[in-house]
Amino acid sequence: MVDFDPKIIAFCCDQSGYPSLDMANSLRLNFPKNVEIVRVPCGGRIEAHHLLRALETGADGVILFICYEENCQFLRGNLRVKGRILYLHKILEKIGIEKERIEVCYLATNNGVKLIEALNRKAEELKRLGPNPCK
Amino acid sequence: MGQIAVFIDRMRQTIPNSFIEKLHPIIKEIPEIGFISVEEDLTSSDAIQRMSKRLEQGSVDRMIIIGGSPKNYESSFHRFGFTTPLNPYQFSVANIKQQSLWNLPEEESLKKTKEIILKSIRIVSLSKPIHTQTIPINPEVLIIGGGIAGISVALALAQSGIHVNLIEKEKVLGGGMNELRIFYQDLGDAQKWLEEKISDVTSNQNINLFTQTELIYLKGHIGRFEAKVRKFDETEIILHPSLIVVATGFKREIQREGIFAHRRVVTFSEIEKLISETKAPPLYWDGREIQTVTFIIDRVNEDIKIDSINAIKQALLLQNRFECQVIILCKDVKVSSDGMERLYRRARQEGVIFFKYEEPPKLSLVNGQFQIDIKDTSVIKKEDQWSVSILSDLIVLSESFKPNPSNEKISRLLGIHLGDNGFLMEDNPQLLRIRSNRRGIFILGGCRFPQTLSETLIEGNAVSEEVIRFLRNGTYTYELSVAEVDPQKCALCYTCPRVCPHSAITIEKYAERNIYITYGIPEQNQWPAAKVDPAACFGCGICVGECPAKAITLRHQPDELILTQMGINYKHNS
Amino acid sequence: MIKAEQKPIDEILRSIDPYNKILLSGCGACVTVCHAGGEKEVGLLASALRMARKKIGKPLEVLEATAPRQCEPEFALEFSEMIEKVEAVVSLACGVGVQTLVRHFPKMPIFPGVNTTFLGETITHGLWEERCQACGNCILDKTGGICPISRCAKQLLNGPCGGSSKGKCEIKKEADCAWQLIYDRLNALGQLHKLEEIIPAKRWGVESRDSGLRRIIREDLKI
Repeated sequence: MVDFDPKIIAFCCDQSGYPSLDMANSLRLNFPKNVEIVRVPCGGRIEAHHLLRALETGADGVILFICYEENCQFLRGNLRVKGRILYLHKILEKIGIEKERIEVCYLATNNGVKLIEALNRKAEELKRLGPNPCK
Repeated sequence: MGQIAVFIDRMRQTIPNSFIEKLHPIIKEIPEIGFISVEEDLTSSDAIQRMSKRLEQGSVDRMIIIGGSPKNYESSFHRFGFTTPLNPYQFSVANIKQQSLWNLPEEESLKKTKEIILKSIRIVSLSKPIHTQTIPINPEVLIIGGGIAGISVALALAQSGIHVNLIEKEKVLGGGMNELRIFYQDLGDAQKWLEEKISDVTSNQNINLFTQTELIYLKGHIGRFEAKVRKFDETEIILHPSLIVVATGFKREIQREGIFAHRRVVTFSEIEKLISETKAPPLYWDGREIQTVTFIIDRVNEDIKIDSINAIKQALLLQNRFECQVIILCKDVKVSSDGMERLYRRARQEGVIFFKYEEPPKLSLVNGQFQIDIKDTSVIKKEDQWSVSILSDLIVLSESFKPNPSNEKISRLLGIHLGDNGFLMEDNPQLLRIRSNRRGIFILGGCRFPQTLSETLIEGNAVSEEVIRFLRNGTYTYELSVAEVDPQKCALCYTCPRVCPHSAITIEKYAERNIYITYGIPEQNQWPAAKVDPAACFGCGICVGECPAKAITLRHQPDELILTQMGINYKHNS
Repeated sequence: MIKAEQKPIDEILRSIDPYNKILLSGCGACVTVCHAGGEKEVGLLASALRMARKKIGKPLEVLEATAPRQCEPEFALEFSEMIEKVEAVVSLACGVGVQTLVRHFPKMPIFPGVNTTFLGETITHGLWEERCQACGNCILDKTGGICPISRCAKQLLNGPCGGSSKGKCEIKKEADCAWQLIYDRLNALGQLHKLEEIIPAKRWGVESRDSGLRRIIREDLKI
């Protein structure tokens, strides 16, 4: 297990991910070191090719913070992105990249603590998996 | 591209001066910077005025704020944004307070701060301005459904000078309320009240009433709907409402099988009619004097309280006025409505007996009377439950509440969603429940969920307020932070109209990109492609991700902004 | 419309194994509609191929381009400039598009990126079913508009086989029996008498797909 700071790209939707992020920040909780935040209006805006580009250009892992099913303000954004992730997991399997590098985490507006826990857990997991083989 | 203005928010000394001084040389290196201004507190109420003054002086056309969370600045800046010299979409926030100031040694903190500021500058350099668009709207509304919900909204709107077209499928108005004779609150005459309302509607100058008329076609979007309705004599009329209100109500159904087909098993409407038409005791039904009445409710719809309310109201009248003995069998006594707890207590005082059951009651006929066997569940231990037999002359059964059979057609024509159970679905339970998933179309009353009259009237008030507010000044202004289809790339695969949760996309004939800017292309030079209506679009971006030809862009967050936030320097593929 | 499905990535990687710079070309028509080869899929596949090759230490450069269609000579020639810069092409168009490119770029290796599966109809979003096999002599007028060539597993022309049970096919259990559908449809139209007309066996070797390369020649259209 190599010791490195895995680069994680976190997509946060405006309704749940980003408010939870603000809450985590104001509670001064500890973030893992190398995290880039991408803000989107809804989980449904996130496209499969954004996630693959993330891995292609050096990220070790991607995590999506979106609303629970049936809780999407735009009714089906989180369901559409779930379908895209399923398709993406099949591609990752074929090219030999671990599925865990792209993960979805469901949140509500006030889940600041859950968000930090998920990020820290992801960082640990990525440390175990090792750096992105396609960097 | 003009230069970038940089405002550093000290956030009331939370960001120390020494830190800000170290930032200055870093920012000054960047060539696109117009000026740097350090402010005490950019979340204060006069912050916008101070910023506006500074912005007028320079040659800047975009700005970043270095401070705390974007949420602190966005709402106030957005509200005033169009009055400052800058476009509110050419604005980015570098959240250094939360993301790099704490928990890090100073060296690293400065390095991370520089990265965050550079990222903000890249984002704001790529941002394009987004403007507003205004369309004129007519003060005209289409109301589908002439029950009490539709009637109350029609009267409220007509009073505000709005022109209302009210269409009703049947010959008469009133809908489900035609069965209600007695108000539970004061035992007053419900039919008289309804007749007054109906006569107000028919005599009102601002209301066009079409009975025996149905909607057959709808096109267009909020502010510019085009509806075709067909009257009983097969003539068709085209209406142009700005907004639509759906109030089609619900249906009652009863399964008359086995012993429930007996003549002395009646529905709520029948007993209501009997009570209101019999002037003095004794009560007669089917030639027989009625002394004992048993209500059996909650057999089918456990979560709807209308039956509880009606049963208690009717039981009180039967017990009081007609000296009957009334027994009510229910799963739960639902009294969560104005004044119902008092009514329930009065009913118990007058001698109405309540039993709660879990297993369905067993019915049989014994010497011409009904025998109802249940287990009295008012004891805690199941073994101690007594078996109770009730002998009754009359049984009142609750009907099941079903969605209006025309809901499917309405849902298809209007592009609004149906819930699992066949009722019309509100947009989002966390938002106003009278909004459907489509902007400009409201749903209220029993078509969404069977509810009491007072709740329907409250929803009617909510709808009227929304409608009046919207139509108040004759125009509708919206921001163009929406999705846009490039008609030359569109493959007409029909994915986006299917996927859009707000039914804002249709396939139409038009041409040229930037359709929101240019007008007047002659019809023969147009071709069909998907078109997002900017007034109806919510800017969620779902269609952008689904389009297989990458023909749709989200104006306020195109791909390059997402890739820039990921830290990738965006370049066009060719 | 032509329906297709993307080939498994390992197959594509095997075809382009000897090359280091390729063009991934998409098509804006049929394969876009069935989400198999449009601009979106091109972007996704390009990233995946680059990553897979980087992982094994053999980096691959991928140029991406999408034409409105690949089956017209003019559209195929639009790729000329880019093709000069690469060693091979993977085309996500249907078999027709791939072969159009082959004819116009005879010296360039061109590989298919999708499997062209069938001519089909959209039932609902994401569900497509075969409807036509291009037999060349349409008999839909005789069968109430339901095709027994594409929908009957045995391609029977005059009624169901003995295995038709409860309206389902004995060969493909999920499929409806085509002749049950034909019967129900002609019944609804009041045209059951059409079933009495015998449809002769198809002349596969004379006017259909077993007769060799088929052509349509329109003398009146020639420029």
